[in-house]
Amino acid sequence: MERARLEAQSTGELLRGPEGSAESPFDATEREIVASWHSSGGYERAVAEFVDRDPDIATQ
Amino acid sequence: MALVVDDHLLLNLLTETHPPWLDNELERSAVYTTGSWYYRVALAMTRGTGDGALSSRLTTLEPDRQRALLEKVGMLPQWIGLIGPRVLVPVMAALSVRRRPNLLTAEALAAALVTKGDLVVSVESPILHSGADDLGVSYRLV
Repeated sequence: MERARLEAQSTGELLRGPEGSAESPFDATEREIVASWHSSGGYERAVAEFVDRDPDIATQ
Repeated sequence: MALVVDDHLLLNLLTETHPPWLDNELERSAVYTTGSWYYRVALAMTRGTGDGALSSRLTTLEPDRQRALLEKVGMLPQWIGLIGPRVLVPVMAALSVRRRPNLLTAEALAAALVTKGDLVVSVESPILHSGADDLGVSYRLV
């Protein structure tokens, strides 16, 4: 495990600590569209369609 | 401290609709997700069909703004950590758990081990939960 951590550290994949601010890549309109799609169940329905064909990415 | 969040919490973070407790956690914890959970989000956003499609919600935007939004899905912010397969695959292959995990579950367990993070999920996942117990990883259903 320590080897895996060292590898992740050397490639910069292991974050050095909390980043503090969680800035969205989306602007306000985009955020509203995506959030409403998510909260209304659209995301869940889309996921249900493709995990049906790909059990490797299903919630177990 | 570190958190490994699932696809729903990732979407909450990306749209700034995450709950206040997570905002507080961001002050003291690095946040990671996994390739499989990120893949689910990206796939659902770009290729979802039928009544779950995001594209049907995008019709209020000009075509170039629709494209811009979908392109942003491919740009995971740097403040969200993502450990790649070069590091995680050997850890996934060596997991010692009672119930056999699929790719998504194995990757989440390995990411939590490597980052020494808590698994934070919004959907109960019995095999992920038992795997976390087997490995001494904290599992939080929120």
